[in-house]
Amino acid sequence: MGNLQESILNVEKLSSGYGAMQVLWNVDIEVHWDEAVCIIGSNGAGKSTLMRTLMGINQPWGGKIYFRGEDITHSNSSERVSRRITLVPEGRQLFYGLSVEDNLMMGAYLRKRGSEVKESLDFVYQTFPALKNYRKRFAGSLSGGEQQMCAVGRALMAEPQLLLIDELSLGLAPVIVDMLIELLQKIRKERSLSILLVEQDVEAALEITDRGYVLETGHITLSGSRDELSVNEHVRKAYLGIPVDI
Amino acid sequence: MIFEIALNGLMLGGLYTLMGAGFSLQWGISGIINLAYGGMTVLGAFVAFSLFRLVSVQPLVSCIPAAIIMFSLGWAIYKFFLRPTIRRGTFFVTLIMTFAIELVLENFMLYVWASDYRIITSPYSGISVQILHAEVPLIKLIMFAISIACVYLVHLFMSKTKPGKAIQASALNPQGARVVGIDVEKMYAINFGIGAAIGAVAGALMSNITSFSVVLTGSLVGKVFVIAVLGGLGNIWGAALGGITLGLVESYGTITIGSEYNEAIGLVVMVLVLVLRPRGLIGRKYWDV
Amino acid sequence: MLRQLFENKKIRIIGISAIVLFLMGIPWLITGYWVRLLTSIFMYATLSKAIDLMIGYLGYVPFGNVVFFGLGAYTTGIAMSHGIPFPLAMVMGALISIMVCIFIGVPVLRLRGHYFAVATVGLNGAIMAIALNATALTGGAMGLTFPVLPAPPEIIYRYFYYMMFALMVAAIIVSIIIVKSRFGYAVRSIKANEEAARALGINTTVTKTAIWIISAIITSIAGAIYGFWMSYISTMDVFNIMIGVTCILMTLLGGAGTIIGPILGALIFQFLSEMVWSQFLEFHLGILGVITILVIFFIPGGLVASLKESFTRAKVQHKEAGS
Repeated sequence: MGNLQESILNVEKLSSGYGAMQVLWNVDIEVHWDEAVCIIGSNGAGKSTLMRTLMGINQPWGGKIYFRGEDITHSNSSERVSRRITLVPEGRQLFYGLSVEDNLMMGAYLRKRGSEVKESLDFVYQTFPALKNYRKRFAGSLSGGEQQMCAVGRALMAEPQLLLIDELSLGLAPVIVDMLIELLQKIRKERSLSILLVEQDVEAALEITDRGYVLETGHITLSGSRDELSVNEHVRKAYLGIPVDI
Repeated sequence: MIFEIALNGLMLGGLYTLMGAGFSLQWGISGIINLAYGGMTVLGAFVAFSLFRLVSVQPLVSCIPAAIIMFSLGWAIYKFFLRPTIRRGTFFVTLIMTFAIELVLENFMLYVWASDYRIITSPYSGISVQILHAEVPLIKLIMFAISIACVYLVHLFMSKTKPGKAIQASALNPQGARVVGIDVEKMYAINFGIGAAIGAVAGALMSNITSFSVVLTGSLVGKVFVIAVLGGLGNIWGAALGGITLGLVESYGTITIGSEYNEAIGLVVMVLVLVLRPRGLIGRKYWDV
Repeated sequence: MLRQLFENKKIRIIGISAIVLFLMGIPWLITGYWVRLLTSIFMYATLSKAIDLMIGYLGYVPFGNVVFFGLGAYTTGIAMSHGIPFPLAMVMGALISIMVCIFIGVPVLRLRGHYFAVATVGLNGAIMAIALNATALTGGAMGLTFPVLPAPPEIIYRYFYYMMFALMVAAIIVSIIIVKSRFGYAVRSIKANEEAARALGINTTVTKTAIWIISAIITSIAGAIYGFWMSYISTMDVFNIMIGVTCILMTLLGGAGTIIGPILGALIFQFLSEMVWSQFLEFHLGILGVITILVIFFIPGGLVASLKESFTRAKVQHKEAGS
C-alpha cells in the first residue's frame, strides 16, 4: 500500500462486474502525482470495466477508490468530474450531432462559463489546431484521428488532474497514434497531469508511461516500471509479439 | 377556396406542430412513447378552463400556469414511474406503463370535470380578420402566433442554452454525456417534463378554438403519433413538417370527404409513411449526420 | 410437495382431465350470471393467448390486435344479416382477417419495436373509422344487430359458454403445437435475434406473417362468437383498443411466453374486475391503471415466473434441509 499523500489515485481491492458476472477481482492500482501509468491487457481482460468503474459509470462491488486521499468509492460520475477526474472513453463517445466546439464545451459542463473555460478552450485549440479549423463542423464528420483529438480535448476541458484514457489507439493508423502520444507527452508536462492509460497497443503504451500493470482476466498479475515490463518475458511474449531469446 | 383551405390548414398545423413537438421530444430524447400524452394535453386544457371559470384568468395567459403544473407532473412521472420501469423491463412494458398512467389521468379528469365537452369562450371570439379573400377568426391567428413562438422558444432553448445542449448530448450519446459529468437521468426527466408542458400549452390553446373532453385523449395521441412519424423524431423542424402536413391534409379532407374521416386519413397516411419511409419524411433523426 | 405433483406426468394428465370435465359440467350447476362470467373469462383468455403468440413468442407487440376482433365480429354480423349461417359467416370473418394480415402484415411487420406497435394502432383506427362511416353496410354509429337464437336464455348462455370454451382449448393446443414445432423455433429465434435468424436461413417475413395470421384467426373467431353472443355490436365496442390493452396486461400479469400465463392472467383479472371494480364504477379506469403499475413494479416477469421461482427456492431449501 502506497502513501496516500504521494499518490493521486489509490485503488484497493476493487471488484466490479455486470449483472451476475464478475469482471474485476481485487484490483490494486496506484498512480502518483504527475505520473503516467498504463494498464496492459488483452481483449476482455476487464480494462474498460476498470475505467468505467474508476469514472463512476459502473458501480464497484467491493473495495475502495481514493482520489487525493479522499474516499470516492460511492460517488457518481458527475461528482468525479467535478473532483477533476475525466475519461477519454473507449470508442470516443462524441456527440455526433453537435459541432466540434459544442462537443468541447460539453467537456466543461460542470464549470462556470467564463475566462477560465475560454482559456481551456484556447489551450485545446493550440494543442490540436485541426480542431480549431473544424470547430463549426459536426463531430461525426471528422476523421478517426481528429475524433480522438476531439475526445481528448473534451476531457481536457474539465481541467483534470487525473486523465483516464481507454484505448487511445483503437482503430487509428500507427502514424496518428504516434502523433497523439507525442501531443499527450507535451500536455502532460505543460499541465502537470497524471494519466492512467489502458491500452492493447503495448508498445505505444510503454512509450508514454512511467509504470505499468498487467491485467489478465480481471486480476492484476504483474506490475513494474516501464523498463522492467518491456524486458519481462511474459510481457514480451504475450503482448509485444517478440519471440524470447533462448 | 383552395387558399382558404390552405390557410385553415396552416393555422391548424401551427397548433399541431406545438402539440407534436412535445410528444416528439419525449420520444426522441427520453425514449418514451408516451401514451399518456393525450391525457396530459387535455389536462392542460382543463387547467386553463378552470382558471378561466373560477378566477377568470385570461385563457391565453393561463398557458403559463398550465405549463408549470404539467412540467412538474411530467418530471415526477418520469422520475418515479417511467425510470424504474425502463430499468427493469423492455420497451413494451414502458409503453404499458404510460398507458396505465393515462388511465389514472383519465379517471382523475372524469371524476373532477366529467366527460362533457367544454369550450372557453374567449374575449376575442367573434372577431375576424381579412387575409386576401379569406376571413380568419382573430383567435385562430393569435393561437397560430403563440404556437409558433413557443416552438421557436423550445428550439432556442435546445440549441443555444447549456441545459438544452446537455439534454441533446444525453440523447446523442448517454455514455459520452456521463463522461463529461452530465446527470443523464436528470436530463431525461427534465426533457420529459418539458414535453408534458408543451402538451399542456397546446391543450390550453386548443381549448380556445374547439370544444374538448376527456374522450378526446385517444384521438389526440393518434394525431401526435402521425405528426411524429411524418416528421421524424426529436426534431422541431420534423414536428413542424408533420404538424403542418397533418393540418393541411385534415382541412382538405374535411372539405372533400367530410371531417368524420379525418382520423382515418391521418392514420392511413401514417401507416403509409411508416412502411415507405420508416424514419419520417425528412428521413433522418436530427442527431444523425 | 406441490411441485412434485406438477412434475409428475400421470398426475398432470389426470389433473387436466379433471379440470376439463369440471368446466364441461359446471354450466349445468350454476346460474346464468356465472356462466356469462366464465364465458367472458374464456374470451379474454383466448384473446390473451392470441396476443401472446406475438408478444411472448415472436417479440412483437401488436397494440392494435383488436382490429381482428372487430373484423371478425363485423364480417360475421354482416354475413349473418344476409342469411348466411353462423359457422360459414365465422369462416368468412377469419378469411377477411387473413387477407388484411397478408396485405398489411408484410409491410408492417418490417417495422420493429415501437413502430410496429404504433402501426397496428393506426391500422385499427383506420379500419374502425371505415366501419363507422360505411353506414349502408355496417349500420355506422347505430351499430349492427345479429339474428337472435330462438331458444330460452339459459340454453343460449350454455351454447356460447361451450363455444368460447372450445375456442380457448383450441388456442391452447395451437400454442403448444407451435412451441414444440420447428416453426416455433423459428418464431422464437426471431425474438432472440432477428438478424441472426435470417442469417440461419429462416425466412423471417413468412414466419412473422404466419404467426400473426394464426393470432388473427383466433382473435377474429373470438370476435365472431362475441358478436353473436351479444347480438349487438358497435365500432366503439369491438374495435376498442382497451380490449387489446387489457389482454396485454393479462398476459403480463400471468407471464408472457408461457402456456398458461395468459389464461391465469385473464382468470384473475376478469374475476377481480367483476368482483371488485363493479363496486367502484367511478374509479374503474383508475383502478385498472393502478393495478397495471403494481403488476409492472412487483411481478415484472408475470405470475408463472414468480411461482416457478418460489418453487425452485423451495426445492433448494428442501435440499439444504435434507443434506
